[in-house]
Amino acid sequence: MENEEKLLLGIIVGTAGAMLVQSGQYAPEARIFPQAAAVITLVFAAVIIVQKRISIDTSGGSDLISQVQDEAVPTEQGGDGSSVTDLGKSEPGEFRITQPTSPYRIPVLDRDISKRTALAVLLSLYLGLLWLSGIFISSVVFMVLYTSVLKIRRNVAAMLVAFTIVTLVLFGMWLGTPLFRPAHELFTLPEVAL
Amino acid sequence: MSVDAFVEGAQLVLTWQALLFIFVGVFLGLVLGATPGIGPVPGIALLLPLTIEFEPWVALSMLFAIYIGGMYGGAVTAILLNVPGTAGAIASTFDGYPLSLQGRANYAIEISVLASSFGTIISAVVLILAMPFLIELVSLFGTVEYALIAVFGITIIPLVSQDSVGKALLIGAFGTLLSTVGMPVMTATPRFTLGILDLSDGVAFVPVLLGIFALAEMLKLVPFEGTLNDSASESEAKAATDGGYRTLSTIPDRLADIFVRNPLTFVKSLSIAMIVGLIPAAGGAVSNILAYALEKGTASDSETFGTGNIRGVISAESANSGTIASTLVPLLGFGIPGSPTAAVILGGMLMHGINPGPGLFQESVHFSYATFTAVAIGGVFLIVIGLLTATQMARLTRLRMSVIVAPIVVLCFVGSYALALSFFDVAQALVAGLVGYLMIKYNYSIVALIMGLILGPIMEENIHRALSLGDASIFVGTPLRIFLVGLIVASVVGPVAMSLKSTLRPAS
Repeated sequence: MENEEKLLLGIIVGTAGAMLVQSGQYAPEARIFPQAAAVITLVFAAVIIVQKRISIDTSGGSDLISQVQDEAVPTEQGGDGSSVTDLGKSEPGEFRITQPTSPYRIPVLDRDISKRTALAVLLSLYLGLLWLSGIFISSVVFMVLYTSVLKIRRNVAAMLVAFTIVTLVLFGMWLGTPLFRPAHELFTLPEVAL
Repeated sequence: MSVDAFVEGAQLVLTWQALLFIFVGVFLGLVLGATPGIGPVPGIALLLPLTIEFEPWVALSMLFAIYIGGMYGGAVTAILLNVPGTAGAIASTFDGYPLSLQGRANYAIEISVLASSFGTIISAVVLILAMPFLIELVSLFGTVEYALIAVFGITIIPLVSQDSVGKALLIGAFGTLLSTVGMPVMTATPRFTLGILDLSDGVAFVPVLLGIFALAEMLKLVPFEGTLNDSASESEAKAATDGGYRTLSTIPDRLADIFVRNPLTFVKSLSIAMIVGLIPAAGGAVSNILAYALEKGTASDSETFGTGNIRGVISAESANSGTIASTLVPLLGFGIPGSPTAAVILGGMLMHGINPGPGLFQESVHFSYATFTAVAIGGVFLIVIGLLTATQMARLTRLRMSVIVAPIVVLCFVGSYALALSFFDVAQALVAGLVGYLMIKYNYSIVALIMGLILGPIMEENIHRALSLGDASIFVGTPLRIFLVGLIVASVVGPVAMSLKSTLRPAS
């Protein structure tokens, strides 16, 4: 089992366990259902973990769609005889996309990380900035950082920033979304009426 | 059919605003369905917040229209580039793409547009005519049956998705568990809120939809270089995306291809679609494969399937679009979505104060008529918009995947924030996105999570009410309940038995 899958199962088991423990403090009629759901979650998590350990994959037989697909999809053969078109089930991490990937090099540390990790960090930063300075500033900063990290061409980057600003103005005008309201009360930014 | 209720329902969607937004919705759906990585589910989720200010039936009509356009949009890239834009278009690649390679892309596109459009229209009309029967059927379902149907909605997921039994049930149970956060029906004490006020109404459904369907998808796409168009050779891609304009003079012949030369193909596929649409969480992703398999399996020239047989395109396209109206039946009747897209539409309904379920279905029957009328109108618009724009839509596959990601992320964040002006909602969307990405990567069903979140409260409330009427034997008290329990048991035991059979087969 890969570390990311362990993390996913850890989140599920941890949440279910914590909710099971906490459910004891509620009235009997309000705790039975969450307790049952938590127990079932934990049981199936245990089943998955045991399955992984004894390496029995139970997915193939139950997958009616893939069975039909496997019969129906003609698979093209590449020049070396390898399969180049396979619309069957995706392998973990491949997602049926055959395009190449490239890492992001952190400038100061001179270390490579995947672009997925870079985006996850940017998203966390986006959330933090949203808390600090509101949706407008955080969105524009995110877009600028994203285009810089992903090395998007300058003219495309300018279009993306323009798209962001237009979207925000649209939300501000159409829905009255406060664009500069932070999620804290440490200081206030000037409210811009749209 | 109650004519008064039908007229009342039709009036809701026959306003110029609703018609305009149905037209816009079909076009947007086509764009979203043809754009790599988006599709109708994240597309509708992204546009939900923008509809807050709309009149409810204008907003819902537009969401249905996006569903229709998005379901077809996936076929454009499937036929032209061998890249199904949505899971509902997988079978369209089997014969659609070979037709494109033979220089008959326009023919395949025209047939697919007409099969999709008429599949949508006819299924909606059939359901309008069947409404009195459906109302009678839903009236057979009381509290106990409703609880059992909700349980069945979870246990059926392994059969209709590409996930293992254990993983799908694990995630379904986890989604059900998360649905218990917030205020329960039977007491006034909120549960599992950790003292956070934003959680007292439970997990924020629309932000979670945005996170799990859109953000997770963007995390999946971000590292890939290039465009989906790169997967086709340069000449194929050019031929596909420069397909040119067509004239209307060929349309009567194309209609004859479907309704005169191959009427059984259309009828069989549409029938399968309408049945599959009624099964919770199944939808076009299942129906297009099943209809194609049936058509191929019963054809005397089955060896020509996969090489450009037009019946393959007719069956796949009429089957995926034919599910649209019927996936809305369990949604309207029980509040249980018949497909992932219907689950997102449920979010839109709740956002606009429409709480679908048996009560609404029987007492406000004009809502159901309005729904199916809007779907039929969307099908009519699809004929026009699809024929005029389908080939040009394939140009969207020239967009670089890394360029698509950023605007979608911004729309997710802004949309999640705009709904309740809550920072915490955005945080929920982000967590859902990160967890959703891990689930996609390791083949844990995100649909199961959403079904658990939707069905959890229905299960809890109705099981609680049922047990207040008697002991556990109440769940097998009538033939209908025994039948539903049998369905639940079969949906769990069936896949497990097939798994064991598959595992043991090599050994024997």
